Amino acid sequence: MNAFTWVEVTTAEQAVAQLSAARGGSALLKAGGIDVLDRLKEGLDAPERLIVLRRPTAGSKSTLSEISEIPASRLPDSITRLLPAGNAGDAPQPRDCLRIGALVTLAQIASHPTILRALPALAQAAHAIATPQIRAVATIAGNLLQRPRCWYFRSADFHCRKKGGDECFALDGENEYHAIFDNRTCAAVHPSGAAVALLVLDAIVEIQTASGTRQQRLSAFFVSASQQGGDVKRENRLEPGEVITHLYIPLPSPDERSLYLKSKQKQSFDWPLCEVAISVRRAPSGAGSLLQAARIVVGGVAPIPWRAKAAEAALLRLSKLDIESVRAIAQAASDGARPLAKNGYKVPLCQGVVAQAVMQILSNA
Amino acid sequence: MSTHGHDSHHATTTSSGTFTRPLIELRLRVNGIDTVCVVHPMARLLDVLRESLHLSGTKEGCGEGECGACAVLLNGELVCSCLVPALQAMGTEVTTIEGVAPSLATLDRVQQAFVDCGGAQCGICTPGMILAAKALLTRCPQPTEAEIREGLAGNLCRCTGYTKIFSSVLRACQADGATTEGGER
Ligand SMILES: Cc1cc2nc3c(=O)[nH]c(=O)nc-3n(C[C@H](O)[C@H](O)[C@H](O)COP(=O)(O)OP(=O)(O)OC[C@H]3O[C@@H](n4cnc5c(N)ncnc54)[C@H](O)[C@@H]3O)c2cc1C
Ligand code: SF4
Ligand code: FES
Ligand code: FES
Repeated sequence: MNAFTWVEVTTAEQAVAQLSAARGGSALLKAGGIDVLDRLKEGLDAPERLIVLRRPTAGSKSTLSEISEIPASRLPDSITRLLPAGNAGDAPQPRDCLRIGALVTLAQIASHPTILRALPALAQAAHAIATPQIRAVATIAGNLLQRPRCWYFRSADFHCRKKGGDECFALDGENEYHAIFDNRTCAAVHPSGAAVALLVLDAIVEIQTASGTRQQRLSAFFVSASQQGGDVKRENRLEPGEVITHLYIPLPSPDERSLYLKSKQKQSFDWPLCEVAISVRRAPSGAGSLLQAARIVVGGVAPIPWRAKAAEAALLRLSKLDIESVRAIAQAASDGARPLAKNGYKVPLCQGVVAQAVMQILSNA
Repeated sequence: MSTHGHDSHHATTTSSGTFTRPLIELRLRVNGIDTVCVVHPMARLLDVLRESLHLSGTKEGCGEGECGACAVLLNGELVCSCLVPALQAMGTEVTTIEGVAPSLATLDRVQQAFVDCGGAQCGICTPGMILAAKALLTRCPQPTEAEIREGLAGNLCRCTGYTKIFSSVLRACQADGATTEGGER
């Protein structure tokens, strides 16, 4: 680990100012530090300044470490305009939202009463991440922004494409935990379990920039190499020097449901082999199809949390729950998969978790 | 044990000012005692406890957050001390296994239950297990077996096969403060 300056800040504005003060020199933001410490120790990052964003000391409050319900009437326009429209073509509808600060821990999310009741996919995903010790420290923004776990990337011995080299060692190497979709430039899977859930819940991310704040749908936030002209060095659209401040999640109406499932090698805590989140909105009775809206996002299979669009379309056509239809949806979930030499098992696994999620959500919908 | 090669000069800045020196004065409260020690800013809390304070009950297994051998309570929260930089522990309150028993003569009910039920073999995982169990019982005083498995999911044991650890924790909540004699050892 290199020597660096340790700078403590408690607001996003201060963090942005410190990150830009370091321009020319390098700076890295640390929240819970679970991922950052790992990268510093392996020498993957060698910042001159470590900007430590932490909760203010007892007494003072900060929305960065709070979860709060924001009624539609008090929601900023910048968020309202990004909310999903009720029907395609409609203007976005004002909705009550849950606001989660960037420094909120995974443990806070997994035990928050409103999240447990209204946004179960998020509570379940947060609860399934790592161990109690890690969840007590790891923050939601840090989880979304952690770097991939590809073992070549994580080892200082391999100067792969993601680090600016010109080779991907996984493509012809040890690739059993790598991507089956969009994997030709870099096959590292996106590591965030929380992202998978937040994407089916239409979350919006708020970002502090040098000149103010900007907001964007999380669905447009994560990017793979193929979506950015072959650039594999980043996994999202956060620009250098920017800081995530909050997430906004529209609270579901009574006809909406969500859930999250994780498939792993160990019974106890483990990284996912494959994980899935699903959200559905029931159709009014007599509509012909069972659902009027559906989202399926699969993790552990692509460089970004993977929207299974063909499976969503098949699910929307569903008029009754039977084994053939579920099989067709599952089959559609692996549309476009191109497994590598050692990860072919992820194709049926991805189909299996999607089938299980569909059956589970429709049997309690 | 290494502190990961801090060989050169560290400059430390806080929002209240800048000072440059190789080591920092770390103030924290450990097991109820206000403590000051001089350490590398990026030493891990684990190193501070073991090397500076000679509290060797806290163990190092993986150093990466996977095994829980280094678990301590930081401001009441269960954390891996191998992932906490010393600077992050400034001004905090830490409980290690050495601070769990109410007195030299009496064990905490969780410790006693581990003795009674054979919850420890080689003992390397035991300090972390006991702190994880204490954190669980604070949050959830009467856990089901599934909740115990969940609560201890961050602590690996290579010896016991876990069954006796789970029954130790169950015993600890049944004991409800009273220590039990004998047991099925
Ligand atoms: C044993 C173990 C098992 C794990 N299993 C899983 C798992 O199953 N699923 C899973 O999803 N994760 C898993 N993780 C990863 C863990 O969840 C992440 O490392 C953690 O959530 C990162 O959060 P943090 O607050 O510690 O982030 P940090 O390490 O502090 O930061 C991570 C990154 O985010 C950036 N960052 C943080 N906050 C902000 C912000 N507000 N604005 C801009 N940039 C920011 C930092 O600069 C850094 O690049 C596991 C980790 C361990 C150790
Ligand atoms: S998969 Fe990506 S991160 Fe891994 S070796 Fe290839 S380029 Fe590097
Ligand atoms: S030594 Fe800290 S978790 Fe293993
Ligand atoms: S008793 Fe030996 S590791 Fe648990």
